[in-house]
Amino acid sequence: METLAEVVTPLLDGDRTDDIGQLLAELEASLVSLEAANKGMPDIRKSALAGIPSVITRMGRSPDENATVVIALHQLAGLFGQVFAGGERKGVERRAPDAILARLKPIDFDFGDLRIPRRTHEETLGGRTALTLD
Amino acid sequence: MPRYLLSSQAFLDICRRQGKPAEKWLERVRRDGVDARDVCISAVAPMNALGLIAAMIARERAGGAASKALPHLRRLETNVREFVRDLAEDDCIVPMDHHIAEQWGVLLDTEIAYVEPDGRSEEIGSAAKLEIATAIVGRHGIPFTYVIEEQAAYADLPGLLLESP
Repeated sequence: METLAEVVTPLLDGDRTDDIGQLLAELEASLVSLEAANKGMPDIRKSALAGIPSVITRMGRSPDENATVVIALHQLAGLFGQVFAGGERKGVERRAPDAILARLKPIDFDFGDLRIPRRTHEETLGGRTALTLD
Repeated sequence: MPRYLLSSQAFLDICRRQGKPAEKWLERVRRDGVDARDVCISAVAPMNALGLIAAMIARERAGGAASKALPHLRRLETNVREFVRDLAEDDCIVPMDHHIAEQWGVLLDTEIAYVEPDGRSEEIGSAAKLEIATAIVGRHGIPFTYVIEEQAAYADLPGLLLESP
């Protein structure tokens, strides 16, 4: 199964509106221009204020009376960006944990066990006994 | 996706770049989709690694004759500092806070023995207990999975998630 990033990233990279339309159909969403998008949708505004997640676009009128959410393309891209930044990190900006290895120089020498020891002169058991309630 | 806290030993073994299990573990979790920012260390790990290297360098110097180990120890020190810089840039070095300190206090009063392969056992140090406390408490309410070789004493500690490299 493809991740969200695998689907969305190529769509946002170029002028592939057919693919965007297909994606939006999957999401049951409509793509409209910024000018056509609506700012006068009282029902959505009211539900948003009641805590129901909604996106209210800033300009224009809704081309679809049945739309729950009308969103312009640049806002859709911004929304995806927020998703990636917030939680879905394994998409566009995931970084490999072993990338650091390329910057660490291999060492051709037998150090033996090289085990991290206890520090000398430390007190472990009963470390809090210096504090009393007397 | 779990977040990991490398033990000081795993951190040092990665810095050795000698194909130790911890290094192979790092490559393995990349294939599992783990992000670099989900692999952290405790603030005491650099101190532990650099302290050991400094002690070994001092011992080599005290030996007098030309040391074969010295340039390799210097390279290891450079690797440690490079890894620390990388982790710090990603905010992946976890400092102590009062939650960790409280858990650390519990562990200070708990006997935790490290058993050597030959059967000898020794109480682990307070810095190691601080690491374990950091793993148990975690960050933002989510505990870390502590990456360390298998030891029976660790498996018995309440709240500690373990993964052996």
